[in-house]
Amino acid sequence: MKLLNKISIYNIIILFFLLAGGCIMAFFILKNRINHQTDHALVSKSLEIFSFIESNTDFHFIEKINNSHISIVEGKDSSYFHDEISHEENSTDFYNSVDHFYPHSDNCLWLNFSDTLAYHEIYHQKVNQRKLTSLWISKGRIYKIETYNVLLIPSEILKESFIIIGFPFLLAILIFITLNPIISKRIFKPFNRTLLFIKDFNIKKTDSKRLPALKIVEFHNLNQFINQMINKNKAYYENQKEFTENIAHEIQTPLMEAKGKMELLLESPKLQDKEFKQVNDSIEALSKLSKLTKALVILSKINNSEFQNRTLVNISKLMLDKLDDLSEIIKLKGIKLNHNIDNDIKIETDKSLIDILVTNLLRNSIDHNFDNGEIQITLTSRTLTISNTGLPLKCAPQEMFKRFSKNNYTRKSLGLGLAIVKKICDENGFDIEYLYNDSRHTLNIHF
Amino acid sequence: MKILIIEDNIELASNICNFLQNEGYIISVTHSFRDAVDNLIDNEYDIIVSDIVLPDGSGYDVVKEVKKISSSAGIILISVKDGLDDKLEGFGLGADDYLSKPFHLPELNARLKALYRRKFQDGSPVISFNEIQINTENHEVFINKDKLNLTRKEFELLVYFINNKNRVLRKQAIANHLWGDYTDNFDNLDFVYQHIKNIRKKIIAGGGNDYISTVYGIGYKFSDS
Repeated sequence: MKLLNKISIYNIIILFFLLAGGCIMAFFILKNRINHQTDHALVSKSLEIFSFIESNTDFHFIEKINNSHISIVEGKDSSYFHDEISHEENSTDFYNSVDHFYPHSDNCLWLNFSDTLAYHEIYHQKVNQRKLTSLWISKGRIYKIETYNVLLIPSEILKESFIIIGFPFLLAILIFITLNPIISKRIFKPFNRTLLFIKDFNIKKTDSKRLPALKIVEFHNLNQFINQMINKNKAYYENQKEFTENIAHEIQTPLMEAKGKMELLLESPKLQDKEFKQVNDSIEALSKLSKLTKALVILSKINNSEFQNRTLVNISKLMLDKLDDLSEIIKLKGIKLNHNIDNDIKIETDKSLIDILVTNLLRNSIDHNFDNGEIQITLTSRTLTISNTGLPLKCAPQEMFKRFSKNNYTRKSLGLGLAIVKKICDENGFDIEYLYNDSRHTLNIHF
Repeated sequence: MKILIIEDNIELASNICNFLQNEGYIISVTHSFRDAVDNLIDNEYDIIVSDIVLPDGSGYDVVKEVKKISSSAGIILISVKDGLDDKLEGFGLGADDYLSKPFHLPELNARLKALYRRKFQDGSPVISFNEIQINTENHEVFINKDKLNLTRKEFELLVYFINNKNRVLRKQAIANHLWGDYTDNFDNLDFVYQHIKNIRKKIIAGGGNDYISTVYGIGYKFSDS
């Protein structure tokens, strides 16, 4: 999930709760305001009615004007409203002071607001109504006026609140969805650049490109940290490379000197049979040391990621070329070669590494074979299989991939050939297995 | 053949010098790039053998210098580095051959002879040894005008023998010359014996003498005596 989208989701959840709270607040505020306005309207209406009664000298008592009930509380005094009126049903609001509504009214004795269920003439049913009961005095008579007003149903108010609040919420989500990709792209541009830089990073490149300083603190810190890591790694890599090359050179030099002297010794006319052999054995031991050094250097270089030059390599051609080079040795040993090599099998890998891999496998299949033995080679786009006859293994097949495994029948072989092959397979993500049965050695590589 | 050897390791230079002197070449040895350049100013050489790693320069610098003074000398570079890139760089600058250390001295000898023939004997690419005539250009071998039918590797072996006549050639050195790195540290070099048996048979059947002798347990010698 993209980072900005995740942040947006958190924002939306918070927004949701905020707006829900706002919705509830809106509901109560609206309800209060509306009720307040209704109450004012009721008072106005009551005053109107009273004025009408008062100014009407020939007042014929009307019980109802529109929806308001009028009754005369005759002969009653103020104790009446204390005992009876104040206990009226659903009396919810009790304004102590008439002055709240009518600062200058001398005629108004008492106001009482309540919510009732009353029959409404126009709607022809009982509906929730706000009722104002008021007591007025005029010319010694006390009039009780009851006026009604239809309330806005709470559920209606809630529905309205919901719409008022819900609309911005949906709008917010819509804006997030459309704007996020654009904002994300802008904000994360330096970060994406950093990611690209890392992706393309190659420790062998000798350039000193580093990540830039940035305004956003977190990205800046990331860049600085990566730069430091790059510096450290490059230094380590260069050290390792130089060390390996130095060792190779320093070891090979005295080896070459000694070997050269031995080869010259071979020319001496004074040598006898036994001495010839001694000189020859010395040369072979020195050669073996040289080759050993070279092989260990290769292993070290692979470890140090020095073989990363990937190109598309035609393995079929490589294999066939090498088989051609080796054709006479194979014939000389009387080995029967069968090969089933598909055309143009191409793999993206380092050419030097694959060259070493194929060479080592072919060498082994020839060297560790009987005279008049067999070699079978199969190459498809998924596998390479080389199988040859040979002496039985002295250890478990998997052990053969370890360095210097003790399977040498003579002391000449280095013991590193398969270790290098395995390392190259690991580098490329190939699976390799060694099988042995019926005096047949088989190496299977899965690409 | 006049040969200049540029090698900073004194023992190694001495080894090469001694070996090649037995061939009858005229050898000069220098141990640094500066000395080599000074030497080149005053002398003409047929072939220059130079190490790539020198104390005050590189073998590549030597190649450039040789080209600069328009010398027609052939150049063989030797080096511990045997990577493809290193070889390509050498050839790209104009070197003629590249030999990676460690090498067998007879191998260097064979390369020298081959290079010399390529460069200075355009008109007559024929090696002869008594009754054996070898045409290095079309790979034909004749014994007293009768053509011999040799395989590619048998041909190369014969050339190698003749180039290194009278020397003791170890089985390993022969195998390395013919099949390079493939045969390094092979447990079993019997196929070399088989190879030599075949070529011997063919030469004798073709009317030639058997110049190949076995040196006890270690190799072979090609000689007249």
